[in-house]
Amino acid sequence: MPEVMSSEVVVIGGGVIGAAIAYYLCREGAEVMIVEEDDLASGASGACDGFVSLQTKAPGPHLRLAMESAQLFPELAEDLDVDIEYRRCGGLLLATSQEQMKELRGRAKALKAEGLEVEILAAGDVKDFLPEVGKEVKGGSYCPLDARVNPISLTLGLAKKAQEMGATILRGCKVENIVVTNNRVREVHTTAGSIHSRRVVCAAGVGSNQIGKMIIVDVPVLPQRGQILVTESREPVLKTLVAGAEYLGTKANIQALMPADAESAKLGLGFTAEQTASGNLLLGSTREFVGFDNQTTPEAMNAIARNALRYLPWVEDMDVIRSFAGLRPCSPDGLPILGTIKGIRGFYLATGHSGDGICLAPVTGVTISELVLDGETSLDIAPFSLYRFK
Amino acid sequence: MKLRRESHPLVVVGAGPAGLCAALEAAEAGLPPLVLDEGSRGGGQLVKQIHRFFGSREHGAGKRGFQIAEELVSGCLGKGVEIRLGHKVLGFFPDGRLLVDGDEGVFVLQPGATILATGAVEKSFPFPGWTLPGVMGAGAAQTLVNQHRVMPGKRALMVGAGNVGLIVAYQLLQAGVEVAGVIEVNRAVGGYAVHAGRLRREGVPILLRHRLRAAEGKKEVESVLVEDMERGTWKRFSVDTLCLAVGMAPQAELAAMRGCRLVYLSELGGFLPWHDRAMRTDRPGVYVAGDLAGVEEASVAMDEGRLAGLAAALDAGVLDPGEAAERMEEVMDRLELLRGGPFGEPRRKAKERLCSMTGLVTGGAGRKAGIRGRTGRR
Amino acid sequence: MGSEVTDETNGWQEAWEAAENGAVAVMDCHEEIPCNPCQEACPNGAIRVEPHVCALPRLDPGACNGCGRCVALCPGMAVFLLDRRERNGFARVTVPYEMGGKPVEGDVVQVVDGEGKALTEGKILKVRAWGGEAPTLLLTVRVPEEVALKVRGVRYRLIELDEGLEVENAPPLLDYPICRCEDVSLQNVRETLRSGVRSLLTLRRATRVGLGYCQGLFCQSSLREELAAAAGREAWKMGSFRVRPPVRPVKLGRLGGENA
Repeated sequence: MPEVMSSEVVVIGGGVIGAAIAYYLCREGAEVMIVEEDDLASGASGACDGFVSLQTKAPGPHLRLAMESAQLFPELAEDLDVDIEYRRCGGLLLATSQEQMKELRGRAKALKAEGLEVEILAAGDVKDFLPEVGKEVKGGSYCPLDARVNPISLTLGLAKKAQEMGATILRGCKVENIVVTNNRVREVHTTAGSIHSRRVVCAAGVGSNQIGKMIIVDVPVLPQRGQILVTESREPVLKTLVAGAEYLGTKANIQALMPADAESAKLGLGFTAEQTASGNLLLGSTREFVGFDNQTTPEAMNAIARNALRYLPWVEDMDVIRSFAGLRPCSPDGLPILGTIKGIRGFYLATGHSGDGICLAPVTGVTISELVLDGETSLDIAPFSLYRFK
Repeated sequence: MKLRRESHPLVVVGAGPAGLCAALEAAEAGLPPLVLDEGSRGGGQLVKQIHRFFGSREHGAGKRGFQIAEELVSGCLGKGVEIRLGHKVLGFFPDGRLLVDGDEGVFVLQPGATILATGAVEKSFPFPGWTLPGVMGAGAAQTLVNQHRVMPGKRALMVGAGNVGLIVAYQLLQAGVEVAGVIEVNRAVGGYAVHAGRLRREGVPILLRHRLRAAEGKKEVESVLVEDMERGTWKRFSVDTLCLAVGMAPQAELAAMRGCRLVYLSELGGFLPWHDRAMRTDRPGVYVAGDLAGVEEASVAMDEGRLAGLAAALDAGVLDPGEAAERMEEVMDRLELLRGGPFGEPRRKAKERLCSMTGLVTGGAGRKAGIRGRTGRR
Repeated sequence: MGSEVTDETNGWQEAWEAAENGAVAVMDCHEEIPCNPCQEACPNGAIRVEPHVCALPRLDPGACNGCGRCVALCPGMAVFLLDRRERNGFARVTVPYEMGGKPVEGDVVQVVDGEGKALTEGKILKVRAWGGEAPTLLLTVRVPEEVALKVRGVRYRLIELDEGLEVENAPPLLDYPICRCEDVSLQNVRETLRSGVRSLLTLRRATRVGLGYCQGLFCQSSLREELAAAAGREAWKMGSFRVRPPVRPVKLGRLGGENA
């Protein structure tokens, strides 16, 4: 390893966001180096579900970003050499009370107004999508454009393709400092040596706050733990994505959709279920602020299982074979932080995707690559500026 | 409804010889523990051992394994130990809590101290045909014939001439299974000569320098291919059962999950939790004993269990330090002798090396000595 | 045969001589293993395992009354009784028996040596049982004196030694799964390793090894060895999967059960 390296662009972080940015930069012919502290997909991208869900996004810029991203997936699935298991399977959002139904109706209306296809389902209609549904379920909404993908394959596929197009990937390489002179990024010091570069993208997920400190910028990203249960593999039983309205409540902080009991509220419990291509059910999930602790807990394992039985009683006889927890890079409002930094040229933020990193990776890749190479973006990313918090 | 909670001053995970002896000792010292085991009978591996045991009187030597198990269980019950069978420990969390699945449901157990005696798991390795029905661990075959009274097949080939391979091959014969032979890659039998002798006198060949190459068959094992390593030729044995007795490894998942530092010692079966001479790990209030602390004989497991029970009672303040020291000394002396002789020597040395790794707890110094710290992080 | 008996064989010379006056134990135990039930078994203190549990047993033939308790209780089934009282070229040998069938006096059996080869055919003269609730049978047979010390057991039927059938050409070794739960083949793993993967977790992300029902219990050590071979390092240095609960599979209905 040479002690002094150079690259047109340095991307800090080998998660799905960093890999997507590197991929789109390489497609434009840029010279890219990914600096990854551990390994590709070793953080949140390797410890999450595969939801590419549109109806759970907030109407407005968030939804527009997600819809743009959703359109990019089919092409990615074609272009990448790795099977990313992309499938437009549709998604259900289930209500367990009339209050929740009311909220979902209002929301569906707002989503439709923005051009997203969403259908309101009565309790009886839900049964068309699921083998059996819990007695509590009062109905829900269905979005045919919701999809699922294998997040690890997606990350590895993007990185692999980027590498084939010339990107360098430094694994096990920690960024120690970023040198800024005359208001411009010049150099990235890493454990593998220095990299001369005038353009640095921070896609460091939960490590972004630490990276920000190196250039004296407060990047308000906190690790939010999400726990997931994995069942044994079964024949296809779950065609669509399934989420409970409380998932949306805890995600977007909607009072009417918050879990009823205190314990669930404390865990930020919201139901999610999907069946992966390998046949396992991934059952989620929690939203907890516990620092960098990514251990699963007895309380959450029990609560997730209990919640799953509420919505999908037929999962009862399935074996849980493991649990895992990911640390989502959570911004104060749950929306990503995209864009430049005032007073420092050549530094770009692409972080804080909260629970939407997988879904928003393609659009983030395209947008940041435009920003880095052209200085402007085709999508308006002003709503995602770091300075919205000030 | 909330997750049910329980607490207990001392919890022992595993009701094998190590766990039960730990429980006995702790109970005698005034700290009767709660013992959890996933099996339906107390005694661990002992319940399926129909042969008479080695060791000395303190280990029930000369008795059959299942008889020793019965004695240990009734000894424990007589001293106020609570044994809950059919209880799986699902997790041992870094904060010290256990998640348990038992007939009363899944619950959280908060132990004052925990003795892990989770035993060992049979090693396995892949080869062509290893997924065919009829290929099984020697221990699994032993469970079938001795516990469930089911013959795994009509005719078997055993891989590995260590004590497990030799004993199980003999027990297959006792159950009425023909044993075509025992193959062993090494130049010498690894197990005791007396075990090899019992088998040979029944007409079972022990083929040294012979290597397993493949299990063959359409839907199940029909034959096994073996390479004669000296002559470079191949042989085919017509058998429907292939038993693997290629060693055991400490079952260290719970210890790893708890954050106990693991050390690699091949003489003791692989990765095992670091521990001191009194079976304390580097996590406060967590003790280990038996095969988890290094794969050895049942007699050793019993004495290690006694040490762990004494240490837990001592650390909990229920046992007089002088008395504890005296009792421990006695057990340690006996362990020293059990690990004597040519068979015990490598294990004795490995244990000595392990216990001298005090630098390990603080890190650093141990590394050069071939110690590997692993806290179970991915 | 007396001429084959030496002092190296653990007191057999003395036993051979003492057997002229009646049954005496012969210890066929030549390895230092931690074991002393024979000493405990002897009501006369004729057997000493000293100075420690791993020492070889020593028999004092003068103190042995041939009761056979040590024969029954030896975990290695490595003690037998020799009785040359008849002094007519025949000796009685008593061996432990733990195989099936229900031997009765008068049964004709094959008397075998240590390799399972028939020394002679003989009648069972005596059947005794000793050793608690699950006793060991002691079978006494009469054999020509010259083979007496070679007797190691009796068998109801002899099985031909199976040395396997010689295979003409070594068949090609096919690919096979290294991770059986996720059905990942050895070749797939080796190809992934050739692309530069050097850690267990990277390998798992790339191939799904270790993600199935057993959670890597069966494949982890083989994967470590493959990684080590590719990296030119020792297998134990190649890392481990993180243990993620539940350590044992558990039904969702139980994990989230109402009685929980």
